[in-house]
Amino acid sequence: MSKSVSHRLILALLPLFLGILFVFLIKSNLFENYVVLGHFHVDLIALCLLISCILSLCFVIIILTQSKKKSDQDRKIAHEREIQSLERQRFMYRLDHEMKNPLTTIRLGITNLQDRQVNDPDETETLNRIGYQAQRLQTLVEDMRRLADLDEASMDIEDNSLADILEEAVTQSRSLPGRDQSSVQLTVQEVPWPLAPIRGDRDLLVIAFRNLIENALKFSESSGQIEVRATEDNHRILVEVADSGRGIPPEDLQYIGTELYRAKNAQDQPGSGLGLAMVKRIVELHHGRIEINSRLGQGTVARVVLPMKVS
Amino acid sequence: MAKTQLLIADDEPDLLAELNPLLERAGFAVLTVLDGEQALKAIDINHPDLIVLDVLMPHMDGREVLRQLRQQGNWTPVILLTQIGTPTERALSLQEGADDYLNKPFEPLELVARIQAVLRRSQHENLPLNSFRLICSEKLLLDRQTRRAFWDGRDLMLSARAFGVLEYLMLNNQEIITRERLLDQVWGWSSPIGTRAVDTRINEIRKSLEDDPEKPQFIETVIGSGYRYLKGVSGQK
Repeated sequence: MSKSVSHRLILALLPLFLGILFVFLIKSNLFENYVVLGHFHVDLIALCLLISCILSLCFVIIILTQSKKKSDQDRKIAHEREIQSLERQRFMYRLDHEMKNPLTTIRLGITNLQDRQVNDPDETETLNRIGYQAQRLQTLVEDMRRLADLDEASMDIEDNSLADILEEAVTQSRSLPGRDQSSVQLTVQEVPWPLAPIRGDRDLLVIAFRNLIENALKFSESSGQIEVRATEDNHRILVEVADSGRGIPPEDLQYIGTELYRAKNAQDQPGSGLGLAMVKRIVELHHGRIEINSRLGQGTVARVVLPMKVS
Repeated sequence: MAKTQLLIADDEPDLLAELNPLLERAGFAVLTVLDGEQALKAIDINHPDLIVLDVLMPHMDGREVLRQLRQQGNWTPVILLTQIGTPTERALSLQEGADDYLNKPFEPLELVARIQAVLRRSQHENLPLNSFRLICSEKLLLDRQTRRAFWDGRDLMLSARAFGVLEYLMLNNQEIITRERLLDQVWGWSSPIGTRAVDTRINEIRKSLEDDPEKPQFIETVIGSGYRYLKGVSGQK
């Protein structure tokens, strides 16, 4: 039973308590123990208890039927959501499967053409471009498939140092062309105590934070400052990735993290629109959540809250 | 010397048409069929040196062909072209007696390299290592079903991915395995995971085996290439 329901049940019993209180008052001779109703003298204690009991009972019945209706509804919604996500997964599988043979054939064909003895230089360039684009398509399909596949069963859970994970994520994001690591500043809480280890899949967490850092880098000027801060907050671990970049338009903010969605002012940067969806999924798999705050023209901060390991 | 004969089974004629010249350029004689039943017939008649099977085919799928072959006691090397890259799926293919597996869509030259590697291995192995549940190398023993590694009977408590890395290196012992290939084989996806993830697992394995990377007994780092398992490995029934 939910908390709100039990609170309301206590309220529903209020008439009963009031009735009992009244009985005590009568007992201590504050009132006469009878009341005249027409020609009858009625025992006030009995009347009081009767009315309060009936009122409480009515309230209790109303509350319980309402809460049952609501929980039935909740269950139905949860069930529908589950079916939806399953269907989405199945759709991704079919799409993935249907694209594999064509992609394999295209790549084989390109290799065959590239391996010819005589090649026109123009043709070579075209072939390289087709090859590159086929590769891109393949990566997109693979990433979509991974996203659909990502579940608890595929995780390798262990205790990890968050500092290690973040350092690796920062190092990896350095490979983004044209961005050196100097603009990323990493601070991990050491005082008054170092961060507790985090339970989860190391490689997935690296992917998540790397994605956030790369986003911050992509949407900032090359001179911009990126800060990655990890602190402990009320038995949770808080990781913030903040930039002073271009920000996300408010009307796009609610769609951020939806597969293949890209903000209006993000079109000039390479990306598949899957990165944040992946981050969201990974964070959820670790029983955490992510919030994104942004001001257009001022910057963005992504806040990841993860539960701390209970020792 | 006669050319090495390959049999390729896949239900996509266009794919076969493109695969054929590639493999012929690599020096193989290639025979192609479009489904599992045809594959079994062709194997009976032509006795190929190596078989490449697509997993999803009409009439009889690649797994079923493989099962029937192995039941008949036919240990011709088989490479499976898998559609689904989940690690469990891969583990299954191996236990059914495939010598290697490759995810579609594959890098064309990667297929050639795998075919050559499997042929090399099959020359000095009677049964492929892949067909054993237990593989051992001196005091090191891997139980591939329960996914646990033991040293002299003591459980090494390797993480699932470290086990996968060690298993793959041992199955392909003496060969240089790139980090990208390990990612592809053990993690099942390479693009968003950096190769550092592999190094982390190698460190974990080395620590539990007390293997000094400077003077490695088990796993050697081949600079600029990847890793190599140095000792001999044998299978135990």
